[in-house]
Amino acid sequence: MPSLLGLAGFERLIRSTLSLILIVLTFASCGGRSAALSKRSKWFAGPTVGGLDLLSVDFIDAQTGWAVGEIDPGGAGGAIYQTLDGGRNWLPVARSTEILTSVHFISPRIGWVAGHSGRIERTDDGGMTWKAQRIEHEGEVLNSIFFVDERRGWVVGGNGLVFRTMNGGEVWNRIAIARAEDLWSVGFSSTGRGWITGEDGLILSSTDGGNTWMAEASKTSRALLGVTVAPSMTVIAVGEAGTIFRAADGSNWSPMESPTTETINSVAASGEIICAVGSKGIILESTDDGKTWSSVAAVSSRDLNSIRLADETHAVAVGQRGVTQVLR
Amino acid sequence: MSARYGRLAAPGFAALAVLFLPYALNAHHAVLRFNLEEMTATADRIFVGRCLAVAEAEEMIAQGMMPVTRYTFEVERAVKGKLPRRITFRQLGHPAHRALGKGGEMTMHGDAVTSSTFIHGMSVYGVGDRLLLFLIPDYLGGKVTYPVGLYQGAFFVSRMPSGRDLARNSINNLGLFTAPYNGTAMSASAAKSIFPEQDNPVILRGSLSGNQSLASKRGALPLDSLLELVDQINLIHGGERGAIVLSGKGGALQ
Repeated sequence: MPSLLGLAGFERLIRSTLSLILIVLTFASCGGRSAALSKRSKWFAGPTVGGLDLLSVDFIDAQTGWAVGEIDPGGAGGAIYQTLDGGRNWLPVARSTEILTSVHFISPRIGWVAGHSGRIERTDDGGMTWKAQRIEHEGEVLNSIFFVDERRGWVVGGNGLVFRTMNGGEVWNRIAIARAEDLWSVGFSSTGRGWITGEDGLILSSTDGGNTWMAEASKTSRALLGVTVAPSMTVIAVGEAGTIFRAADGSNWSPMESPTTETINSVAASGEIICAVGSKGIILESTDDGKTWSSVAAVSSRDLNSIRLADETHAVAVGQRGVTQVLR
Repeated sequence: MSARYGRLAAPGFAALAVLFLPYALNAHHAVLRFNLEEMTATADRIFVGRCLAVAEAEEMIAQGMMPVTRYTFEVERAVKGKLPRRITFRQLGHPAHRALGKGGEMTMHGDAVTSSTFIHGMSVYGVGDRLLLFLIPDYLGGKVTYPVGLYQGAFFVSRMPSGRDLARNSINNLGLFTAPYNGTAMSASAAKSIFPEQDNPVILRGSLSGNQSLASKRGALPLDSLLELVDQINLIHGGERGAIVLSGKGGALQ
């Protein structure tokens, strides 16, 4: 071959062949990634559940989840809903006489709900029956509840409310943090390390299991409504006006470029995927540990209040007037 | 005391029961939900003030001795109605501390509380509390009042470390822009500002156009913006701008 083409021609052939291979590999790589993304994530409209606003959702696996929210002010109360098929169908499994703002399960059987008037309830049978652990604390608005195991849990709420339990909720002790801001979300990466986000850009962190909390510099006055810890231990906080903050080490917070100016109400992570939802049905996604974010085509214009990822390919978001959306 | 009130206070409490208790027996928050427009239209006095005094008493109302709580407020801003600088009004019932359970908690939804003196859902204020109050016209012979929708029309004002004042009622302002008109004071056809059935519940034109962000804000609302919106709603419905006057009928005791 060299004798027919000459050395220069052979070099050109090799170069063009290598370039072609490079181009093909590049397209294959992008195409493969796109194919994986499109195969991985597609949002569908789920059924309307109940018709009242749903405020929180949690999943323990790809099939089993629960949702809670508003009550009917006409006297019918509200419901705790359960799905056993990944959000395709929901059934009310228990009634509630109080507005419930947060639900968290640590196993298919054991979970908690928190809500207004300081209410906290626990189930040991997957949500069929609930035992009240705190009730009737007039004026207390609890916004978020989180457990790391069967015993250790935290709940946060309006006017700087923080409670901690070390025995599965039998006793809830108030943790004094000397803050007046409404606290919106709580999350822990271990039994010791946790974060709380709240009004006026407040970010609190704890390294001693929530016994003491330190304010961290967030450089925003926007309310931060949701916080989650990714498997990589990166912490993401989201909030009003499309605000997204990221702390790879859990303490140095940086604002991320956001594709929206709408309020982001909730954020969740699983594997390498981080998703967030908010007003007017916005859905945001990051596949690089929260460094860059992109919008996913909205399925509904209704506000989405809460999202939970069961794994990288299954998620459910819930919101205004019972709207649900399913990633599968 | 229970027997005494049970005998003497029945007529007055029966009147209140007609208004609310059918909804309150089984659920704390099972009270007709008011959105901000209906709340503004229903109240005859809307003001921001600080609670100066609280006094529990028993008074002859509606031909019976009834437990009442007198609240005195220093008015700092009147949004609707002509109000004296210092207003005293009465609400039926006594604060919840009379009804505490053995563990210090309030017991379940009025079933186990001393129902003869405590009205579930009735707002309670402490000395020093700063509130935005929407009070209904005095009733029971002009003797007593309460906030529109009980706890809904009582917004506690908190000052953030940043200096911002935020206002929030005990249901975290849920339904202020989304609750349907319940027909108590307004029907949907009379709506001029807030349209709960629309995804954008606050009218997008005219002077209210800047309030979409307020309507989409979760939880506590900036006090200044909330007052501005209430003021606009009041004027849109033909109400007079509120004023603090040297003397006048501000509350049931004035």
